[in-house]
Amino acid sequence: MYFKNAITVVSFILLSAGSLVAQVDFNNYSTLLAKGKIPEDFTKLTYDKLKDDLKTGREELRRGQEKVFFEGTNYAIDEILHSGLVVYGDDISTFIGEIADKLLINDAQLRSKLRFYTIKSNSSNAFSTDQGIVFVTTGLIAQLTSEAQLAYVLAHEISHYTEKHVVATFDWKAKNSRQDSRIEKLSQYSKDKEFEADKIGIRMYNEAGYSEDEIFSTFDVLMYSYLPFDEIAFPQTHFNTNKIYVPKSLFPTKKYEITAVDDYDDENSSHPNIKKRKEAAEKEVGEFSTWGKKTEFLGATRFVTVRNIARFESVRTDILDANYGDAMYSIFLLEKDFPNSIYLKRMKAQIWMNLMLYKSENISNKAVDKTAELEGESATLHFFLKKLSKEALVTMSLRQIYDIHKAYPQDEEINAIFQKFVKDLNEYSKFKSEIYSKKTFSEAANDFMAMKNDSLKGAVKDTTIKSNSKYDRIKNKKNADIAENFDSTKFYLYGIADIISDQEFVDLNNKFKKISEDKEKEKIAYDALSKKEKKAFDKKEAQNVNRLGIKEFIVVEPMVYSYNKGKVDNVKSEKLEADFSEAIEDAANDAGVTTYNIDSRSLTTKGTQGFNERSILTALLNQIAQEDEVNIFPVDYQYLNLIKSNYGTSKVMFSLVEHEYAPNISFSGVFSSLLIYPVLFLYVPIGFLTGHESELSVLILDLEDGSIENGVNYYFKDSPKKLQLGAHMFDIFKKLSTEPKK
Amino acid sequence: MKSTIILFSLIAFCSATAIAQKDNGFFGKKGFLQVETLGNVPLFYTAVNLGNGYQADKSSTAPRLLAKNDNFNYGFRVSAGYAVKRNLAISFEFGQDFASVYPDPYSTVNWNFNSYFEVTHEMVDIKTTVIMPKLEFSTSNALSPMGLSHQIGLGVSFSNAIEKDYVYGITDNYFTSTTFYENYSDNKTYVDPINFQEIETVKKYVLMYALNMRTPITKNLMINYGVKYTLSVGGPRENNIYSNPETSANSRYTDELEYQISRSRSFSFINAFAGLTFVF
Repeated sequence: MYFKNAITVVSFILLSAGSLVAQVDFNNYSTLLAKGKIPEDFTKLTYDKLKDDLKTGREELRRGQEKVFFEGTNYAIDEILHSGLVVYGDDISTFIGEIADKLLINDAQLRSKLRFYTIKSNSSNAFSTDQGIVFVTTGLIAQLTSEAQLAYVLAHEISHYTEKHVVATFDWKAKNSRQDSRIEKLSQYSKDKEFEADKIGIRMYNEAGYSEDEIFSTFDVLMYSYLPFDEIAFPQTHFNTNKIYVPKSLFPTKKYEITAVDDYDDENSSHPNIKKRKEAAEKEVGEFSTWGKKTEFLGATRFVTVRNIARFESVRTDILDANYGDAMYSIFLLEKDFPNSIYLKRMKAQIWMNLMLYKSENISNKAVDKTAELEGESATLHFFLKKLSKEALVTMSLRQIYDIHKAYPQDEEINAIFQKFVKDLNEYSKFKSEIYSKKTFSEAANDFMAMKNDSLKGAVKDTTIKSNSKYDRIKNKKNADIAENFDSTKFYLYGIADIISDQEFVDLNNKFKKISEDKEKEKIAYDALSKKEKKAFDKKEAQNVNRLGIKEFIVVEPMVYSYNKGKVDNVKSEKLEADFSEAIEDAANDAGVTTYNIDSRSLTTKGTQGFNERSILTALLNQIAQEDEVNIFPVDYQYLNLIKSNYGTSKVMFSLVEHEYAPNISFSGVFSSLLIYPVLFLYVPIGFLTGHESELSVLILDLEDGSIENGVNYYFKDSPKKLQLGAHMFDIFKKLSTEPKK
Repeated sequence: MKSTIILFSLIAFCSATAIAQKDNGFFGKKGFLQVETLGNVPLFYTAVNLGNGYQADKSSTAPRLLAKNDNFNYGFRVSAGYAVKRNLAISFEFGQDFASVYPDPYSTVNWNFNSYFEVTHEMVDIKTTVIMPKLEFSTSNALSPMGLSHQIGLGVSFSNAIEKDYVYGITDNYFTSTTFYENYSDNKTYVDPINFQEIETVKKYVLMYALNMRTPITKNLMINYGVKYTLSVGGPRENNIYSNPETSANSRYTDELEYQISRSRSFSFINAFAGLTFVF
C-alpha cells in the first residue's frame, strides 16, 4: 500500500514537473533564450575543435581531405552556433531532446553523442552534422501538428548521423569533382542518402512506438511549410472599428490558390520530391507488422505549448527579417488564441511603425510579398498592405499604434514605440494633421449623402461657399470636413478624427513638428551661406564628428575576415579575431575608456547570460542591417533595456576587419618590366609593398532606440596585426570619449 | 557574412566625414625618430663601367689589383618627424652613403705629356652626406607614422672621395709587353695620379620618393622597411681632354674622378632599406 502511494506521488511529481516545464505566459511572452549550463559546443574555440578532430582523424578520408573536411565543417557549424539564432536548454530544445531520449531509449551510447539545439529561423528545416549536433528550426516546429511528426524528423536526422552521410557526401564530391553531369549525379547520390535516412528513420520511429499515420502527415507539413503556420481567411473587415473604416476595394476580389504539388521536378534537388518519399515510406512502413498508436508521449499540451513558442518566435523572426506582412498575418492567427497577449500588441505596433518608415522611404515592397508570390489566405493581407497608398498607410499606422497605446498606456515599450512613431511621423512622413477630417468616415458619408439628397430635392445650397473668393474655393476643395469634398477612396482622411483632437497626441506631435521644422530651418540657413562660410561651418562641424563624450561601451566580439585568393581563411581569421579582441581591450585601457566585452571567448566565464546577451545584440545588428535608410525600432526592446541596466551604458560597439594580402604583380607585368629593365625595380617592390588591403569598420549603436550613434570606417594598406589594429582603436576610443565642442 | 557586408555599407554611409578632425597618432604619439640602414647593388653604374673595376688584394706583402666590380653600396639614415594628420607627416632626414667609384683605368698620355702610361687604380671610396626635408603621406585612413607611407623629399647631397692608400698600377710608356698588373706603384717611384687634395666636394640636388612600411613591434618601436628611389641632378660634367688639351693629366684625373662621383650618385637610384622607428 505504501509502495503504491509512493508511486502515485512520484508520478504526480513527474507530471507536475512536466507541466511546469510547459508553463509559458504567452500574454507576457518574451523571446526564447538559452537556459542552463552552456554546452562545450559553444565555448570551445573552433581552432581547438579542429585540432582535436585532426588528431582523431577520419578513416573514410585521405589525410589531405581530412583537413579540408574538418576545417569546413567546424567553421561552418560554429558560425551557426554563434550566429545569435541558436538556443540551448530552452523549452523547445529540451522538448526535442526528450523526444530523442524516447527514440534512442535502447541506444544510450548513441544518445550520449548527440546534442539538440533550436535555431530561431522561419525556414522549416532540421539538419544534423557530422559532429553529432542536430539543429531544428522554430519554423519547422511552428508548422507541425503532433509530437510524432517531430519524432519522425529527428529519427531521419539521427539516421544521417549514424550513417555518416555528411562525410560520405563530402568524399563523393571530392572524388567526382570532374565528372560529367556532376550536379545530376550528386543530386541522385544525395537523394539516395535521403531515402536511406527515411528508411532507417522509420525503423527508429517504429521502435519508439509512434503512429505510422504521422509519417505521411509529416510529408504534408514539409510540402506546405512555405506557407504561414495556419490557413485562416483574413476578413476584409479586420481593421474596421467605429473610428476607422477601410473600404473593401483595398482587398483582393479573388482567392490566391495554393500551388504546391508533391511531384515537382527533383532532378537537381538534394532531396527526392514528396511523392517519391511518400511512396518509399509507404513501402518501408509495410515492412513492419506492428505499429504504435501514439502521436504524443510527452503530452499534447506540452507539444502545443512548444509549438506556440515557435509560433510566437516566428513573429519576432519575421520582424527581424523585415517580413512585416508575414509577421502581421502570424499575429492575426495567434491573437485568436491569445487576444490579450501584450507581446503580440507590442509586435503589432512595431510592425505598423516599421511599415510606415518603409513606405515613407518607398521601400515597402521589401516588407510584403510580391504580387507574383501571393498565395493562400495570407495573400489578402499582403495585397491590402501593398495597395495602401503612402498617406493611407501612415494613417493606418497611426490609428493602430494609437489604439494600442491607449489600451496599454502603462506599458513602457508601447509608450516608447508611440513616442518614436510620432517623432518619425514628422521626420519621415511630414505629417500634416490639418488635412484630416474631424469627422469619422460614417459621419462624413452621412453628411455627403444628406447634401446629395438636398441637392436632388432642390434645397437651398450653402451660399457661404459660393460667396467666397476663387482662392477660398481652392482651399475649400482640400478641406475634408466639407461634405461635398467627401471621397470614399480617401478613407484615411476620416480615420483619426479622435486622435487629432486628443491633447496628448497634439502636444507630442507639436513637439516633434517643431524639432523637424527647426532642422529644416537650419538646412535652409546652411544653403543660404556663401561657399566660404559653408566651408568654415563644415570644418567646425567636422571637429565634432565621432566625438560623443562616452567613456563606457559594451563591445561585441569583432567580426574578422582574412581572405586568401578571395576566399576566407578561417583559421587565420579566428586567430586574428583573438588578437583584435585583445587589441580593443588594450586600446580602450590606454584611452581611458571602460569596455564590457561580450564575445564567444568569454562564454566559459560569462556562461548562458553572456551567450544570451550576445545573441540579442547580434539580432539587433542584423535587424538594423536589414535596411540602412530607416531607423527601425529594436524588436528586443525589453531585453536590450536589461542589458543596458546590467552594464550601465547603452552604447554598443560592433567592429569588423577585412584583410587580404594580394601583391599586384602579374607574370605579364614582370615580363613587360624585364623588357624595360629599370621598370622592374619600380614594379616589383611597389607591387609587394602595396599588397595589403585592410579595412576596419566600427559601428556604435544605442540600445535606447536601436539607432546608429556613430560609424567609423578606415581603409589602410597595412597588415592588420594586433598593434596596428590597437593603434586605430586607440584613435577611435579617444575620439569617441572626447566631449563635442560647443 | 551577409551582415558583415551590410554593416560595411552602413558604416560607409554614416562615416563619410569622419576623417576631418584632430587625430591621435600612434597610441597618442605623433613624434618619431627613424634609424635605418640602406643598401643597393650598383648594377647600372657597374654596367656603364664594365671591366673597369679593380679592387686591392692586400693579403700578400705586395698588394695586387684584382679585376672586380663594386657589388654593394650601403649607408644609413636618421630622420626625425611628426605626424601632422593621420595620413600626413613631415620629417627631416640626415644620412650618409658609402660607395666606390671607378677612376679612369688608363691614360693615353702621362701627366707630363712626354711619355705614354697606362694607369690601373683601385676603386676610390666615396662618402656622401644627404640632408633632406621629407613629406610622408599615405592612404586617407592610415595612421601615421604607422603603416605604409609614400615619402617625397627634396634635398642636397655632398660627396667626397675618401683619401687613403689606394693600390694602383702604372704601366710604363712605350712598350706594353709586360703584364698589365705587374708594375705597381709600391715598386716604382710613381705617385698616385689622383690628387685627393684637389678633389672638390660634389654637390647634387636629390629628389627622393620612398615607399616606407612601418610595422609596430611595441607601442614605442616599429620596424621599418621599404624601397627608396632617388634622382640626383647637378654636379660636374665629363671633362673632355680633347676639347681641353692643356689640362694636365693630374688635373684630368681629378676632374674625371669628380665626374665619376657625380655619375655614381646619379646611377644610384634604387635603394632597399630597413631599420627601426622610435615613436614618442
